[in-house]
Amino acid sequence: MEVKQISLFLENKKGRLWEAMDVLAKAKINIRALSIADTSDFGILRLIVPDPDKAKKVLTKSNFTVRENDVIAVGVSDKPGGLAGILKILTDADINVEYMYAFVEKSGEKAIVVLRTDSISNGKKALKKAGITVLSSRDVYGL
Amino acid sequence: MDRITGRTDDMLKIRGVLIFPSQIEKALLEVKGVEPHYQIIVTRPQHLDEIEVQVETSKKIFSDEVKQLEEVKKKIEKHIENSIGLRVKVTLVEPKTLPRSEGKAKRVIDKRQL
Repeated sequence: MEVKQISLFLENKKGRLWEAMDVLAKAKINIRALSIADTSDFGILRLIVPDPDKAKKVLTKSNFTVRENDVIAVGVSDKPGGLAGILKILTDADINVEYMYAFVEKSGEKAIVVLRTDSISNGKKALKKAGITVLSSRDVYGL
Repeated sequence: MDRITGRTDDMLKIRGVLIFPSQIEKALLEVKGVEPHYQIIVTRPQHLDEIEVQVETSKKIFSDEVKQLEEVKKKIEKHIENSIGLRVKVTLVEPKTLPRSEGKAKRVIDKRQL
């Protein structure tokens, strides 16, 4: 299964992020990873959660603008150059990264990198071709 | 009848240009996926009037990429500029946060102290 990301539109104002988190807390949805892209008047919050469909449902119900889309998750070794190696592959394949964020696995050996390329399938293809294991939803959600 | 654009009591004079909120509404309807829920805020920070148009985002225009949302914003700004002849600043706000019309809609907030 593809790794899904939930993104939501947040106005840049006091308490709005808390309100979104409160909805997830009440629905007992844990967050695996998150990143926020901020501009002067709005932000986009991106989340990796174990149950994206449920997260989307509860957030939509609370009037948030939500979107669910595929992202690429790869495990990189938690040492200098780990991420550079992955990005080199994408650069050589002429693939642009729109955004990315990373988090460290509990075991501490690997870091998980969440990547968004223009075309997800092209990004995956290039990584697989270079022998990189692209993680499935089960690998990522169950951490 | 085309030259009739709205009621004179809705009319705004910004930098000497006459503007009707209906012109902005029309411009919004031209942009695909954008819903015509908006509010016009007129200020005069220095000596010149500034217009901010707050537009509600919709599921259709929302994207996980900042780049794409900025593009929608620019597109709306362009359409409004073409329609009224003045450059405006568009701000995207969350859906259902702008007041809905009850009878006569309060679309304009004029903060200029004229």
